Amino acid sequence: MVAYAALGGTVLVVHASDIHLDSPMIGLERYEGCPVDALRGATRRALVKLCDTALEEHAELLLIAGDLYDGAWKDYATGLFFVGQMRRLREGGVRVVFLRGNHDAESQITKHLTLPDNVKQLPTDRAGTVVLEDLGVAIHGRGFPTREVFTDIAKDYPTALGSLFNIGLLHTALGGREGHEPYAPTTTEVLKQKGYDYWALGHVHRREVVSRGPFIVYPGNLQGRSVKETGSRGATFLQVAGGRVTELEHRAMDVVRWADLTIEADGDDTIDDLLAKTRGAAERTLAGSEGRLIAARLTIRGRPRAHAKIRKAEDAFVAEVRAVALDVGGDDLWLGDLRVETASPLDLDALRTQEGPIAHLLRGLEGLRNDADSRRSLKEALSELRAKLPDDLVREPELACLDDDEALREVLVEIEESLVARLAPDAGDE
Amino acid sequence: MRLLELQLLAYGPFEGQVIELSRERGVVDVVFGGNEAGKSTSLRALEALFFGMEQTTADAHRHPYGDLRVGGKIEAADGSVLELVRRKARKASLRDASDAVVDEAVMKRLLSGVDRELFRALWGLDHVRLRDGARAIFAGKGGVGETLFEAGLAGAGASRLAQTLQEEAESIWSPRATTRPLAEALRSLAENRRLARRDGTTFEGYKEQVDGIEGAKREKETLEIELRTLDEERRRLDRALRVLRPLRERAALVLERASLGEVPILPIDSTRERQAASAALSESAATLAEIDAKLGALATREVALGPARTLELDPADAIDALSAARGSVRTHRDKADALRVEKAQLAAAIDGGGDDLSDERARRLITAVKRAATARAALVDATAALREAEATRAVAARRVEAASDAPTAPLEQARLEALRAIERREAGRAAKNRARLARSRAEAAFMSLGLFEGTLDELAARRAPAEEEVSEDSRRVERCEEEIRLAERELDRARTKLEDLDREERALLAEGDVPTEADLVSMRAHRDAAIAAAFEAPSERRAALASVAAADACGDRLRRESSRVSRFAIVLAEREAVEQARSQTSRRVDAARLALGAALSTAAARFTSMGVRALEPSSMRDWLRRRAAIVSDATSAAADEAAADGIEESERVARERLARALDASPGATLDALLERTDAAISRAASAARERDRAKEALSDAELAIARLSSVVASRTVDEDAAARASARELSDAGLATTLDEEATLGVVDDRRRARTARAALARIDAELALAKEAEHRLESIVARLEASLGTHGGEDDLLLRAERLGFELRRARERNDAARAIDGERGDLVRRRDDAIATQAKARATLDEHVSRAGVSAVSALEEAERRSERARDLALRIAEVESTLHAAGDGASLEALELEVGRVDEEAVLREREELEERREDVTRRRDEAFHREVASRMGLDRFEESNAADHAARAEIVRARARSLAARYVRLRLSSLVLEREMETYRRAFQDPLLSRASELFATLTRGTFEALVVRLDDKDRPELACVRSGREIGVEGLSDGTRDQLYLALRLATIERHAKHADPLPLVLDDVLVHFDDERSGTALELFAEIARTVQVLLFTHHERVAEIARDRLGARAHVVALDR
Repeated sequence: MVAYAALGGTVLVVHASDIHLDSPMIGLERYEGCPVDALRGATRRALVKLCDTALEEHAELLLIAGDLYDGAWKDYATGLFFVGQMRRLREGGVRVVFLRGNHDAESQITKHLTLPDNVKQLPTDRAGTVVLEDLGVAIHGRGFPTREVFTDIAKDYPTALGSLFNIGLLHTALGGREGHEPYAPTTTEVLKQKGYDYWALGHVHRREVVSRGPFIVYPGNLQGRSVKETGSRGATFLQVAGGRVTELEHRAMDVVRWADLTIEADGDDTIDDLLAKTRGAAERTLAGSEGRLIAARLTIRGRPRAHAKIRKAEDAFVAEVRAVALDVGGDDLWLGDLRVETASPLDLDALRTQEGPIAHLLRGLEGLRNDADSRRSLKEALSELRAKLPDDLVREPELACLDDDEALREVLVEIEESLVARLAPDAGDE
Repeated sequence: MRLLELQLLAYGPFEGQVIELSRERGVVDVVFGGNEAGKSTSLRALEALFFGMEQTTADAHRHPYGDLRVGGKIEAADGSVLELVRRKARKASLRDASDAVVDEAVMKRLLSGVDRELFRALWGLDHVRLRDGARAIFAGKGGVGETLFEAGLAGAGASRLAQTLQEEAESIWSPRATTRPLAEALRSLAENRRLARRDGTTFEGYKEQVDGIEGAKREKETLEIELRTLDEERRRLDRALRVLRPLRERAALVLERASLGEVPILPIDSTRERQAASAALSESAATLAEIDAKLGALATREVALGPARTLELDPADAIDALSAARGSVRTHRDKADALRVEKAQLAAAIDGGGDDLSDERARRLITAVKRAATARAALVDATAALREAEATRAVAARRVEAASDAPTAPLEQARLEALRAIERREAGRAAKNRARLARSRAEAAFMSLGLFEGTLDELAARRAPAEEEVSEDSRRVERCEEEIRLAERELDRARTKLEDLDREERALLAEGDVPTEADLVSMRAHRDAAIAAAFEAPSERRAALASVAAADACGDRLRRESSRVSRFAIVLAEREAVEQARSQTSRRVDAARLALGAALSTAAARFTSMGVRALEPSSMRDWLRRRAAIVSDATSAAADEAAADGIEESERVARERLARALDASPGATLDALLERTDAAISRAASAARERDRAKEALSDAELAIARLSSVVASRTVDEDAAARASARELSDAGLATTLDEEATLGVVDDRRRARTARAALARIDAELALAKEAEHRLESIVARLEASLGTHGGEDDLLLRAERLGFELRRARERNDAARAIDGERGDLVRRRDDAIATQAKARATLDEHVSRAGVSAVSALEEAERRSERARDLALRIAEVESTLHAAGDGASLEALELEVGRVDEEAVLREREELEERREDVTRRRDEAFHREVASRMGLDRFEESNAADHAARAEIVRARARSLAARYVRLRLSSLVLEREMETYRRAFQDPLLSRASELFATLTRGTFEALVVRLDDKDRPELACVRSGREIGVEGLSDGTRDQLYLALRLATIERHAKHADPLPLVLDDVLVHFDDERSGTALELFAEIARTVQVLLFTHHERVAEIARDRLGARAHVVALDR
């Protein structure tokens, strides 16, 4: 299909960003039956799917708004894989324009890669423009020269070229986006002043249509990489005709979808109630997965009456929850991280004022929380483990207590709940 | 708080029932309800009021869930009284008296924050938890901290929990273990990260590979060009080597040809033609001479034959004709006499033969005559057979009349019955024998069966228990015994293990005291206290320094002797575990013995009803089997005896019936009667067979007579017709009609012979005529030949004349044959002479032509000319061959070019050059191959970039990392939990040891009614404070106490804890559920006294279903007991 925007034809543009090619999934715990094969290489498969779709639908142009690679990732084979996909696009007549984001600003891969002639990289030292006259499209943009760019580079973008469909390609936190570094900050006003027809943004991993006049769009990342990136992930497909966007659609390209499920336990909930809630949550999640593998984190919290029972046989409870997930989802649902964060329904403060061993224990723990010297002896008892753990692991919140005294205090609160629950004799039938 | 009323509004079986509790302090509320009275329901109702109703409850059998209600009046610490109602609902289940919702926090405040489980732990006690608590003290070896902690938490097992937490933590990770899950996860994490780094690819690596490919390709191309040049040079040298020799050979050949000069080239076969012509010339001259000589000899032989005779006929034909005619005449003459004699004989025969009779007529005549004779004979035969049949019929009729017909059926029936009786006679005897044997066997076995006092028949008549039941009893007993055996074996093993552990402990202690963490903690505490004191008072500095030194020394020892310390701890832990196991095993033994007794009683009861004194089930199972065999034998003997009697009776009946049938004496034996019966039946059967045969013969004879009468009639008609036909034929033949068959045949033979003689006579006459004709023909031939030869035979016999003529004719024929042979030979010789003359002329012409072509003057010079011509031709051919070889070897190059290329080179020099070139070429080839290999290696290296596993390893590393994180977090929490719990148990001991133990000591002395005087704390082998009981001044550790005393110890500690609790905080009601079931009346009374004492500070609710407890309470406590009897 050869369609010229200038002549009134349509141009199909695919806008993607934050592909983070070959960066691994984070936070998936391996238990027996973990679908490792399905999980690894997910970012590659998502890119292949994107290219497949672009070819099948005869897209003319693919835009990648930064972070094609992960910064820490240096495997040159990743670049070659990208080149292979770009060659496929070249054979299908798809042109590609991309720029560097904060993650691949200093990527050794990008520096040395020889890209096929259908791929153009926008400069990093100034804003540049790629004009595709046959399509009637001009793409303006500037990549990150270094990882940390705190200036508004969009200000220096050229003004729109008349008679062409102008696209601004930019890796930016825009007016600040929670959870993202405030790189290349700018404002919608600055962007609108440029007179472009479409701003293809990158950096923010959640899809967002910031504006529709002109279109300012974050397509989100192509494939979620951790449980922080739940829900559908993919690219934005836009039809351009007569010099304007006639259709804008988000297409899911992810091959594995993340879900963060939380079960809020009620005070009267028994273990069976919690399992039933787990089943319901799993079923609802699967229903919206569109056939993809769901990698889920499940957190059970609240102050259920079953708390003590759960704490006394936590492994068995975890196994039961996993069995429910397996029963509902089979191979399509992988419960990678299961967090039992139920708290005691007991009024611990009231108990603390009483007499007897439990009150003594509670007061002892309170003392530990308030006495750094006492905590030191606890830390010493864990020093051998600390020495064995890699530093990056110890920086995880669950293990920060090994280095961080404040974190240790929080853990002592957890322990208080757990110990009191386990010290109470069985309640008999629930 | 205090519960004043428990209202069972609609709960379990109750409706509107109110249990009023005492409002006075120091009064024990004893809630008594017998079985099914609702004591347990009331307890559940109390908990339901406090904590809400269970989601599923067994107490909704009367009232539906929605209607369940429990109420109560509760006095708060401040003296206010609340009336609350609990409904069955997930939310808003707490109401006030007006059914208004009450905030759950109100109840929580009343309950001081405890939930159902903690309430049971802190304020509840039943006999099970009492026993569990006592066991926990024992399991904790009487460690004071653990014991006091356990006493405050009924049945919670705090020390067990601390141990479990430690074990769970160590199952995840241990500093020195390498196979724990966390250690494995960390290893896997490091390995996957290493692999990710190893497999990671770089641009430099990529470029190296790409450059490697390009460099190798370039080098390969350069070397291939060089290789092609070398190949070209090698081809040139190879060509030089190929053409060098042929060129030299050609040059020699050309030189030789030139030396021959001008030579006419003769045809290839000139020499052969010349030689042939010369030979033909010589041969033809000799042939001509030989032919002339032979012609002379022929002329001589011709003269010797004389003149030729001229005959009219050819002598050969004449000889043949004469010989044939003479032979014919001689043959006829030889047969003529015999023919004449035969002719005379035939004439005589013809004269006696009568008229001629044709063959057809003779045949018809003979047929008719023979038919008439046959018909006549058949008629005679049929008539005779008819007469014979009539005679047979008469005989058969007489036999039928003579045969008798007597009935035998009744006799046969009687015989059959008799035979059956005899057949069964043996079976009867056998049955009788079997019966005798079975009975004697049963009686003998009965005698030795034992355990039964009655007769054999009585034994058989009484119903015995099923063997399956007894087997089940036996198995049950065996299981119990096995359980006892196994448990006792385990006890033995435990004993041995304990001895081993004791030995090891002694050995460890023999190396000096084993310091413990507790020691260190204690010393550090002392140190801290001493330092604190030193700050207060400088004079204490010395003591502080000593404490510091002691604590440091203890710490040093712990480090130094860590292996001994840890081994000692293991030994102690193992001993504790073994002791626990031994205790459990002992209980197993007791339980198994009880079960064994029960099983034996059940088994014995099964035999009581049949009057048997039962032994153990395994023996009774055998007894039952033996009894079954005896009963079976007795039953079988009776059945066989009855069968034998029946058989004898049937034989008697058969004998009487047979005697009646034979009309014989009934006294005869059955066998004799049977013999006679057989004879009678045999006779009757023979008579019957004879009569049947006679009847059959009579019938056959009558049938034959009927058939033969018909035959005779038919044959009479046939005979008449045949006689008439015969007479007619005889008459037609002119013979008398009276002639019989024989005579007629004689006449016909005579007439046939006469006809044959007449035919023979005509043949003889013809032969005689031919003889005469032969005579005439011979005579004619002889006359002609004699006339031709001019001789005459005179009167001589014709045959003699013919013989003479034959001789003459043969002589004339021989002479003519010789003359014809000479003419033939002469003709041949003349033709051969003509041929020799022609050959001679042709040879001369050929030689003349050769002389002319060779340019010589005479035939004699031809040979030399031919030799020169041949040599010149050979040289030309050889030169052409060499040039052809050069053309091929020189790759098509011209001779001039080749000669120019090779010039004057030396072959050896070329060979050397070729060798050097080959070495160079090998070197270039090797370098080219190396370049190729480098290119391949670089390409393979490049493939690695397509298949990099770095991302896979990184993905795996992340997964393993998450696992390690999770395990480490769990380990941290378990380890911290364990540490904290142990720490707090120890601090609890330190804080409460003195007041609690002091009060518990009093309570224990009271409960044991002075058997034990006090509780004391002493240091165990590890210098750890442990609880001991003082009896008669002697300290006894908790392991030395009986179960009952341990129960009392635990109760004392628990009551002391509760009492102390009540002194320092608002207490909840103490709910005791049948806690005195293991106490005798006296001890129960003492315990109730203590409950009343405690009730001064804590509300005490004692639930019991033992009326005796209520009675004791009334007796011992009087007004201090408020007994509530539950009544549904």
